Amino acid sequence: MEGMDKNKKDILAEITTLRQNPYTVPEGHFNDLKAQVRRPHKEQTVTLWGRLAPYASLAAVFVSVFVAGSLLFGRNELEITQEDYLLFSDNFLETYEIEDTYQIADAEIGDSDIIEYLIYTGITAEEIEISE
Amino acid sequence: MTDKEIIQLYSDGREEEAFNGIVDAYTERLYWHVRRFLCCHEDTNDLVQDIFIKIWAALPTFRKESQLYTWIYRIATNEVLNHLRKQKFKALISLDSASEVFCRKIDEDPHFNGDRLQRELHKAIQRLPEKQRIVFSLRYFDEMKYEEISEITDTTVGALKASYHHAYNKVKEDLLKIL
Repeated sequence: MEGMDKNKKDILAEITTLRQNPYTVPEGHFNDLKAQVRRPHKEQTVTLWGRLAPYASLAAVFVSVFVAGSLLFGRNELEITQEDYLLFSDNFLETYEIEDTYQIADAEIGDSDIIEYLIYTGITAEEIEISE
Repeated sequence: MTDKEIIQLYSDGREEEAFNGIVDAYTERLYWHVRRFLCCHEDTNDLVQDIFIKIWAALPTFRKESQLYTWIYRIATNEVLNHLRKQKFKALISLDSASEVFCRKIDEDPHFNGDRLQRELHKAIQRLPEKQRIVFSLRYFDEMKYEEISEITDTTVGALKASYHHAYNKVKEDLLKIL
């Protein structure tokens, strides 16, 4: 190490302890975790609303855009209000009032991401229920 | 129980036994995989439980031509990415950077037993972009083949090699600064 050109040193390859796991867990932790992991899929149920909520949110967005579009196209251009502009703007999702951090996180992830993931996991409204 | 035996159990309609086989074979592995990203024992426990709920729900969609191993890691990695994105948003609101939050968690973690260089390594990894973090972790710590990482992340081998190369050099640079 001494006298070696610091810039040429491949520290990640040479110091083998770096690949070792530095984290620890309490004794018996994994037995407890396995027991916890086995339990939830039996006991918990997802409510029908919990599974349909993302689709309902999407449907609400489409209905809002459709209604706003109907109103706008049925009007004189000069009658467009600030509210109409917001509904039609690209920033619609950002101006839509969001109440809790879970919805904020969903807005960041995007509706197409949610649908893709739900389809990927095969979750349907008829799945077993998981209670919160 | 091997992956092949687990898949056979599931094909025979013995879903519970198959799931228990997955739990026995993968709980510890998934815990360490997640822990490297979340840097917190309690958060890791919570996310691992969520991951197994998703695995149970997704089992009917598992295609036998895929490897069970990469399929499970894919679910776990997607959950980790979703969690990291939520943490990123929460960090934005509190005006911290997400990597600063995770670096603080490493410093405050009572279950971190490594030396100073290991601590700096794990902090350097937290400063990588999310996808580079995933590739670096799977390649450097788990020594996974690029083809397996490609199945998990749905990224081409070429892109993964480039990503790993950048991540490796960035982490190495960060560590050399403190030597």
